[in-house]
Amino acid sequence: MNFRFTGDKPIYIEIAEQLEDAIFTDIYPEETQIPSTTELSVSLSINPATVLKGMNILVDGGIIYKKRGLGMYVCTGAVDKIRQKRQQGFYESYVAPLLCEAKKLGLDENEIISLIKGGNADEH
Amino acid sequence: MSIEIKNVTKKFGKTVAVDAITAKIDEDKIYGILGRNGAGKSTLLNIISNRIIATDGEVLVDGEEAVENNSAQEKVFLMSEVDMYPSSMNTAEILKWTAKFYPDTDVEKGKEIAKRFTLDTKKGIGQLSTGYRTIAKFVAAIASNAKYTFLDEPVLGLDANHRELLYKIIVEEYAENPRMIAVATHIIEEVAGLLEEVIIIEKGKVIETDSVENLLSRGYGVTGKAELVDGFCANKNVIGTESIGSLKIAYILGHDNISEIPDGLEISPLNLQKLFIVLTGGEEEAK
Amino acid sequence: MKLKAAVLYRYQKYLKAIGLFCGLLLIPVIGALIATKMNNYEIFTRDSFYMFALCAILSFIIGITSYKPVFKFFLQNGVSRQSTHLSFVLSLPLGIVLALAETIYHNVFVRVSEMLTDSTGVKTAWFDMFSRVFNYNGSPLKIFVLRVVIGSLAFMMLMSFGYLMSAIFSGMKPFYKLIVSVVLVVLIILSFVISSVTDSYASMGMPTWLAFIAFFALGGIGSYYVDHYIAAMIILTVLFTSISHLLIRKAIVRK
Repeated sequence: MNFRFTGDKPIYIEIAEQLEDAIFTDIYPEETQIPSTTELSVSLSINPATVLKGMNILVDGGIIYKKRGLGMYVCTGAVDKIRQKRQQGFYESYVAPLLCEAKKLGLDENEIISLIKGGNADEH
Repeated sequence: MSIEIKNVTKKFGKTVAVDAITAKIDEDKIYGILGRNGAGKSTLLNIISNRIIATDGEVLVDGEEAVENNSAQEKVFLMSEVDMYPSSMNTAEILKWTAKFYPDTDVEKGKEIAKRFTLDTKKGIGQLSTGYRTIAKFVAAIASNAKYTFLDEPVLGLDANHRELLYKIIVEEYAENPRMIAVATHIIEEVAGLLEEVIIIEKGKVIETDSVENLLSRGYGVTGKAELVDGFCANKNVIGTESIGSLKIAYILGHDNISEIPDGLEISPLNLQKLFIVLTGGEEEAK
Repeated sequence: MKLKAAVLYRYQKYLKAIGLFCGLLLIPVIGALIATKMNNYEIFTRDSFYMFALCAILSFIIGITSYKPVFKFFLQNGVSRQSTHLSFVLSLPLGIVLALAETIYHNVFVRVSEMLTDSTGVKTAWFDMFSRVFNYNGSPLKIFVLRVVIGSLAFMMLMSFGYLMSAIFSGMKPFYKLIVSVVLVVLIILSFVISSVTDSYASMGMPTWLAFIAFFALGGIGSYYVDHYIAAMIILTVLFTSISHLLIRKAIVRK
């Protein structure tokens, strides 16, 4: 996980995002344990209440759950849930800002599309 | 259970160091008592810990008066830059005596923490460098297990490594044995992540007391052309502004509905340091 | 709990100091005994008076050092000013310890002197002064006890006097502190100069300033009734501790 805490978003949100990322990329596979609030807060020197708030976002989203007496575990199907959520958010997170920036730069629709096609071609 | 500060005023001759401050410090939370140099933070802490006597008002610790009260002061520990320990006393002895004055002291824990800082516990505190003297005092403060532990400028003279270690130990301590730990400082950036609650003091008065989460959610910046910004700010609580040419930035505090941002304006969140700077004057850097 | 710890701290700190002092005293005492033996003469029997004067000085120093550094230390540990002051009052019995030590030393010194010089009834300057000042004669045991009592009261009075002086001095603004310090230093140097130049207490062979201290502790030269002396010392001790109590009530530590 790559925490930066640059201040352009609340700390607890960054914690939720980084944890979600780690779960999505299988660093914490489903039904395995993630670091405890204490572990995370101590290693980052962040208030445990803040860490807990970030984790609770993931609990609410069905990504992780609390096993009584043991700690936080990744839910089954979490990866799918995350993928779904991100696909839904793809437009707002990536397309909308792209269009906004493209507008500022004066790029028209065709230019945008050809850039995308070019990028895809580079991939292969 | 909490410390209640009720209308506390302190005058030194004609100077009013603390002006009718009312605040509450709850148990088991990490507080930041933030203020610029000379704002009155240290004076307030000295009053809470019975080192100076308020001109007016009262301080209650779990319902008991704090003034000249041994049992209330068993719950309060203040670590400050003033050297109060006999200079020939070494850290091991300081810990031994702290245990006699503070019933819940854990001497072994103190020695372990000292080791992590590579502090020589057999050296008299007067012979230690400024940084290590601060560390020795910090060791006593943490080992005391006092219910309300106040650290006044705890990183004075500490190098970057020791500063980081200090913050880590605060969080460790808090996570393992929850208690109220308050850090009074004007260096905001490094401690911002540690804090749950803040009390911001400016010119002897409390200008903000809130949870960090709430405070940050109330603050945001608006950037854009000056006329647009002014129009947007018409009915808002603006706490500061900056101008660069015709570009203007306004800092606003309030639970405003910012889902509809007019074109040409950008909204940005504020971090604690920026909020602090803006709230307490604006001009210079907080560091 | 804090009061108990405060009293414990004072006793630990000063019993150590008294012990060290007694240990150091052995050196001149043994030296004096050796010299007495060598000369088979009573010339050094007067040394016992030095002991009393030195104990008097130690009491005064204990008093002075009992204020500021201890007050700061206690304040750091959350002790109220009331308790800090009370802990000092409760540490006054240290004077009794010192008086006991002094009396025992004196008696041992006299006995050993007698043994060494084969003379009896060694009279020390202290003893002479004691009987002159107090017009007292009685059994050795009574004199022993009385000496401990007189010593205790004198030392306790001096402790509280030193404490009060320190309390007053600490509360002064830096400017006045400077003036007082200068005046004190001048006075001390002056007394040394005077005593080396004049001959006032030559009969006792000791410097004037030491005699001053001892006489101050004894309440001055003259004929006293023992009970008057006891009363006077108690009144002075109570007076000094009361005034310092008033001073400590609003005391703070300046940066």
